[in-house]
Amino acid sequence: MTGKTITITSGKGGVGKTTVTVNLAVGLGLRGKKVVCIDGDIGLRNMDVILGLENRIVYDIVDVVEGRCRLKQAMIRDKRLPDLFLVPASQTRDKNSITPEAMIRLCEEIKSEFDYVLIDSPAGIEQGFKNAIAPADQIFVVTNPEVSAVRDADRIIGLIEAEEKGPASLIINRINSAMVNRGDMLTQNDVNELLAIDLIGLIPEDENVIISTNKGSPIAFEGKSKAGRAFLNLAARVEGDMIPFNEIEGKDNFLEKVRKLFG
Amino acid sequence: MENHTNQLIVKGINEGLMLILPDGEWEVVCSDIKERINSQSTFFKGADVYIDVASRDLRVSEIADLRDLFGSFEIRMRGLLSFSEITQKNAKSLGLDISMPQKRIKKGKKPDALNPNEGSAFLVQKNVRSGIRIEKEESIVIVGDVNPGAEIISCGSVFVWGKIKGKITAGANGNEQAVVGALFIENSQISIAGIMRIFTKQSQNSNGSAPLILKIQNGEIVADNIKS
Repeated sequence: MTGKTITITSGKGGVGKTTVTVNLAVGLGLRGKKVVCIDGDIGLRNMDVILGLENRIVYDIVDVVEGRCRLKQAMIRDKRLPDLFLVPASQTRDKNSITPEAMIRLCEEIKSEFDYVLIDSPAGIEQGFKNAIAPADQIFVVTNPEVSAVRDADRIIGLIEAEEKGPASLIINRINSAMVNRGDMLTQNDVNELLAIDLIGLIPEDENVIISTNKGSPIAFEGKSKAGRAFLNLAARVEGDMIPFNEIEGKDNFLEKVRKLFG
Repeated sequence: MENHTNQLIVKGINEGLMLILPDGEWEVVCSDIKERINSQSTFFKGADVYIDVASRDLRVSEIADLRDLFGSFEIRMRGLLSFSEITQKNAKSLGLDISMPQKRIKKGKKPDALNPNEGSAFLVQKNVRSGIRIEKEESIVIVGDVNPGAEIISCGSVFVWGKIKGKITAGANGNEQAVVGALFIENSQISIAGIMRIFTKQSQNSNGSAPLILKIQNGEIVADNIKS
């Protein structure tokens, strides 16, 4: 089996890279895919918390790279999905503990047995970002509908193009339909117009995300919530399904979508 | 760079000689060069040469050997022109020029190369994103947008077939004849020959979608519609 490595990055911090990565992983896992998430944010790990796996970490990615354990020993199996794994970041080291070459080797090894490797990139454009995009077959850029996040996304897309890793795809996270309708928020079209890359995910603002994050149970397990449904749609698009971008409008054809998703 | 051929071509240029190397085995090419110089050694002696290898990838050692070959005939290898990024990088690491030297600007005389309304331009066919800086002696034409945080700098004119949202500098060497043209100008900073003007989305002129041309008039930048 040869899987696909997808890196999720953004430039700006706090736009929801880790949330998107985890929920995309759950979405793909619910579709029966074998998925490994790698937390690339060495020194500031938190993917384990969002997945609710923090007290199971024995070995981390730096241990694997430095040969203190085998890859399999550092892979933590999810409580809910048997084919979803996390390779946690080290909390006591920094980004320079890993090289792009080591990341490429690691991902090649995982790809031979899994369908997807999802890498959660740290914020910024330094070493951690370079490590995260080196092994990528595909890159998703996450942004929020606000000018500073969009500006940073533009910079990141330029860097991805310069590395000849493009074309990247865009995920707009935390769109608030009420604010968009009032004209107080950048719309999907405003963002698209500036960044000019293909959209693959549109995630509405949903306070359930914060609740689920605190509980360590990703929102994608709750397919009825606004954001959960949007993440399931994202996973479906990653798998090549053509799903219209109507996450923002409402629940009109929700049943139909579910039928398409599981049918 | 010239069209590629299957034989070694030697041309006289302002800076010395230009050698356009043929395709084929690198060793054969090198022995061709050697033969050619041997047959006309007085012609070549003491010359500065520029080498054009088109898209050939050359290793550092190959470039160094080539330079030594010329050196043995008392010929200075000054530059190596190539489309190949690998070759460019390796040539640069050996201290060779990878483009022709810019023409010296003669005092009191405006060279044609700097007339912003003539000569060739540098063409960019994509959006220029935040953090990208394009700096050229010649005029620049961009087919796409200049996004916020991008910088375009030219000694000549700048034309943007799209929206200007970043920073544009035209006539960077003080040439007041330089102009800036664009389909749309949004929040941006534009300077021509050291005179700067800040544009906001609202300062776009009321004629709406007509392409704009900015030039210097009485010491300030004025916007005009492009006349047909």
